[in-house]
Amino acid sequence: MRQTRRASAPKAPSRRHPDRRLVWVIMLFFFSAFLLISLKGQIHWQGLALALVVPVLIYIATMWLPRFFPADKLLLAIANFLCALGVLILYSTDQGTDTTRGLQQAVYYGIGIIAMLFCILLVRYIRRWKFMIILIMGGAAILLALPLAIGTEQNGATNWINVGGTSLQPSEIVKIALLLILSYYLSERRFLPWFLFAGFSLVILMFQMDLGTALIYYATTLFLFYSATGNLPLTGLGILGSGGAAILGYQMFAHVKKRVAIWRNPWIYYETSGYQIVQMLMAIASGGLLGVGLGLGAPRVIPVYFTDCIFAVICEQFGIIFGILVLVMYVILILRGTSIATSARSSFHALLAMGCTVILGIQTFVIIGGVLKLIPLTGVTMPFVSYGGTSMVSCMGIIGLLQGVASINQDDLAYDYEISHSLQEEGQLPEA
Amino acid sequence: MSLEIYEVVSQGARYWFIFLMVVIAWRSYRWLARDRKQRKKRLRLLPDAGYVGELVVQVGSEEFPTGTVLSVPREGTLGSARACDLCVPLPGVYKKHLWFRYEDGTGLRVRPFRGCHLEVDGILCENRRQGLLMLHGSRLSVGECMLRLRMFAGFETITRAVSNPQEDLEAVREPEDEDAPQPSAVAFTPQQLALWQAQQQWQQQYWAMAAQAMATQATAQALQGLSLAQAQSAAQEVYGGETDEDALPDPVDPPAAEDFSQEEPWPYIPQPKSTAVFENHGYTYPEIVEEDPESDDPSDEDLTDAAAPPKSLYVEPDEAERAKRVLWDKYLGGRHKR
Amino acid sequence: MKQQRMRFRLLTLFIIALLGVAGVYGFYSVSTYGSRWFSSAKNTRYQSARRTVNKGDIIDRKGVVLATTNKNGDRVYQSNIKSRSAVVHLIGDEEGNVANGVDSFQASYLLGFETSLSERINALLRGETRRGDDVTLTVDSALCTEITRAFATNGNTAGKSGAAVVMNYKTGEVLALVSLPVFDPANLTDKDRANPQHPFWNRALQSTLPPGSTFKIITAAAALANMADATEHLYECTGATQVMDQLIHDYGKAQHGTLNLERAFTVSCNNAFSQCALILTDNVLRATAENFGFNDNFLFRDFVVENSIYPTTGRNAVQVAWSGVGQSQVGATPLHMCMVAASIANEGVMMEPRLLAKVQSPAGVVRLRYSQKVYARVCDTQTARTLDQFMKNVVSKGTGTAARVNGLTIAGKTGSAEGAIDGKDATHAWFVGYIAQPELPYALCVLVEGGGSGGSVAAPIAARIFKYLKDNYTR
Repeated sequence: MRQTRRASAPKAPSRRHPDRRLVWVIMLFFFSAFLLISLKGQIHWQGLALALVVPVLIYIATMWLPRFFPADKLLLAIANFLCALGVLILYSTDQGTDTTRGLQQAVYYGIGIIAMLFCILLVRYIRRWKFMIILIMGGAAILLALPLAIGTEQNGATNWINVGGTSLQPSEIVKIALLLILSYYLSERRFLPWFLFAGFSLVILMFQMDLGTALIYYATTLFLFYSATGNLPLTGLGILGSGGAAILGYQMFAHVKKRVAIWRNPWIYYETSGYQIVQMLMAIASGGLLGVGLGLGAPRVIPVYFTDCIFAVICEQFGIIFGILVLVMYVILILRGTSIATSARSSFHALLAMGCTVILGIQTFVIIGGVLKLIPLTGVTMPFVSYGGTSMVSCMGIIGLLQGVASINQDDLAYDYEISHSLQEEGQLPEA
Repeated sequence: MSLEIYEVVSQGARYWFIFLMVVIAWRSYRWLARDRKQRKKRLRLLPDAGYVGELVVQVGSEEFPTGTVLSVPREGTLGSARACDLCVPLPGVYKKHLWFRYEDGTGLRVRPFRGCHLEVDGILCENRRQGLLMLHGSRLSVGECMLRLRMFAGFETITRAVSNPQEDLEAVREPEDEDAPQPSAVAFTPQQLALWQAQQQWQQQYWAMAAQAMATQATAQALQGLSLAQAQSAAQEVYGGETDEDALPDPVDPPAAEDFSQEEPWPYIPQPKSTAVFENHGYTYPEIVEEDPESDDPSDEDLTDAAAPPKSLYVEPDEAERAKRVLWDKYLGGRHKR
Repeated sequence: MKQQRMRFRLLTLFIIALLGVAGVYGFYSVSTYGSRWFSSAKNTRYQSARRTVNKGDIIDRKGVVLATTNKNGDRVYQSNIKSRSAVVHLIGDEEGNVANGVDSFQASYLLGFETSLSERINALLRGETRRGDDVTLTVDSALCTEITRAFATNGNTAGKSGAAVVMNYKTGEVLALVSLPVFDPANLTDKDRANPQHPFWNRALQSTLPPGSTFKIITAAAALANMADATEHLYECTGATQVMDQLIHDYGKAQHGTLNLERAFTVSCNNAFSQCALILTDNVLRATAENFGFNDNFLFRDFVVENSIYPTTGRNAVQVAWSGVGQSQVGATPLHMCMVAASIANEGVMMEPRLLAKVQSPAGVVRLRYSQKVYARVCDTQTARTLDQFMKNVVSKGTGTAARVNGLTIAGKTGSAEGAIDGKDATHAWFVGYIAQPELPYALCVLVEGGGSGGSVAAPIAARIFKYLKDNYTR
């Protein structure tokens, strides 16, 4: 009798770990990119060192760190990829000049990882939020109001403070506090505390003329409020109110009017205020579909090419197709965030995870839409990629909050397993 | 490399980078999709996942018969709307009536929405923000219906609500409505009443013995010199929280319950819905050695709500930790075991 | 929690949709407007590319080199000052004063941005200096020179600003595109820069002016297509028609009596056409105008053209009546009016105007060959044939007799449009027309800004161009 093939032959465990394969590709990407860029003109030893160090750092941060604390590796891999992309772009624009933003960004990346660990611990090990949240609220309010007293002005917005030689942007860090406060009070079904805090921070941001961040705060608050309560009339009122405020602002403030005019047709304002967006559009256009090549092009003619307009630099060097794929990475990040939020057991954690997802998504849309001239350009950073320590800390902190919720979900699921196993062992579960 | 050559190489490398980027995006997407699929599979194996207990309808109607079981998640809303986590479509229940949250080791806190009326174990909720605490066995009255809570094993409450079933019945019955048909399922036989009384008695004895044992134990020095009442409450804490089995004396045998379990289905017999067989995910469980069948823990056989201790206590702490590790590895992709 | 999860999914979908819109919009705008943004004169990238790449040549259809790069890397134009001035708006200048000339608009070819990788490696191995691709245009530079001469020698037009476009109505090739006044790209003077006539402005592509009576082609097309008794309907012309509180009258206030559409077209009677527009209603007229390309976003491959306008909102009867004769905020560029005439000649099929005949790399690789493309089908064949007859009448016995050339069948339409130059009222002279002979398929449009009557100012220049075409293009 012929031996028949077994229908369900036990599969041999694949030697190549699928997760590891992604990390390998990412490492290969940065190795080849840094290798290429370090050979431009002459051999840059710094670049060669980065070609080795960055992939190793990525490996350590995605594959080793989770041995010591529970973490979601996909989130880590995407965040690390985007951060390293920022380092690569900044390093390539540094070449031939005396700026060292690329190396500086690598240091900020390290600080960001520490912020992420801190946020994981925060979410995992603080069980009594009742008093903690009041502390956070007070601290955040003071931090946010500080620039009004001792702030310095940059690009028309007074949202920076100088602390011991380094400049900080409090509104970035307060984002984490905002998420915690919103999700705590919304899950407690209390209205006044978060409403007061959100209103206060919006007023402060308006005073600081930081419209982009105000928009992000407002949209996050509105979206979280909607997802927690499902109160459509109030949410609609909020949207209408923001529309009304936008029209009022357009009528009242000359610079808002000017911004909208620039957005509608930047080319006629080329000599003055439309310069930035025209330069960005020309950079994106000269990149075309496939880009001009890494390290080529003229990214430095774009004003603030290292923070707000870094997406235009990516599109110039790698092409719009690559840019859209970067957008896809953000989308995957958002999908992952949502799946963490929907599998959370408690409302606080669910709202926290959703808040993180929403704030990252909105910020990405606001800046990328601005760069592509879909909406008027407002000065916010591109998450993970843009140059800046505060932005990096806040984005990695938000990822840390997500990771914390993910690990708690995991604990809950493990607990369910545990109970079911013990019941089964005791013969209480019917054998199937 | 001269700039001329670099330009050519860099232009050629564009395709390579875009290829790598496509691979990265694709692999991330695959990872996401695979995890989502695994999570669904895992939840299919664990139908109870996410639920902390059940609410059993004690007095129902034709559409919502007595004995209907509603699984209680850790947090959620109860009301007559279908969108609520627990849907109780009975008159007197508002669309969104109350919201509840399981507080670890304490109980299920229920808070009514504005203008809604609720009672737990006969106590009317007056402070809307504070709400009321439901324990294992507590009776919740919303509108015209009464529900009784049963926590699943592993989700402990500080203590158990023990009350006279006869009183419950009186509370449910409308005194002036004598002719109305009596609810059939909640019929207490005299046997059951006797059993309940015996249980009450046994429990009191048990507390007393535990207090004595605590007082005499060398390890519980801190309790020395306490009065009996204080010792009782200390023992109660011990019972409700971490159980150190050595510290407790062997309890007296409670009244046997065999005849009772063969009666009509008592709503509170623990019957987890999970019917799946779990693969041991690379993890071997230690064999359970039957120590001594004669001197078995009596509470094991006692399936009444008052006597069943939380099941999770039977898992050794080390075992739980290892199970958790395995899951982290699987789901979060922590350490990969070869 | 259950509801909350549903809302989470909804929100996520919303945010992903936002990001998706951003991505699609980015891809769309780069693939549609990318070349326009890139070739903007403000782009510093090709200034830097010029340091390493020699710009390619621009050649006309007869092989005349219009622009080339010498050994020092400077741009060199034709030696004859008249010839190089005549094509300056097509080619552009080094300072980027002329918007979107071939020199900047096709910079991605001329500076070798389209060079493939293997070609670059080959060039690198051979150690050559990089050189961009050569661009051959469909333009006849001698014709352009002839047009500038025609403008300069005619007493009515000398010193006036204007434009002329000549194109092949069967294929869409643009033979000449001239804007006046011209200037010398080799030595730009401060006089040019301060000239109140704005010589840097390419009027053929950038001025949307009221087309005046030339718009009657479209009104007549609308009538022929939508009115059952279009050809029999009689209009009353008493010199002025009262619409609401305004009088509509002819250029020169002529009285034509009772006349039908054909007669009205031949004598270019405003009264008849404004009555016709009121009968047709605004919506029908606008729909026909939009068929002819008004309100379209012109995204031609080789040209950057201002869009033509037919107003869409806030219209009363007076405005509709004026629109029927091409006034009242109706605006079109000379190139577009040339396309309108060409589409009638081509039996209702409008061809996209093309300028690039060939793009060839220094190594001989042909990167782009001439290809024709139908832009739109603007009216049916029967309407086009009727209009063809009308336009022939205009030249044989109507307002456009000055455009007659012995031995050619010419069809055309004159126009005298009331507009403004620098805020002062002025009458622009228009002539659109074509040679109705299959062996000479050429259409043209002549505009003289502030010239006055189209029949007496623009038509003679058209006649001269027709004569040139007859002499040089008859096989």
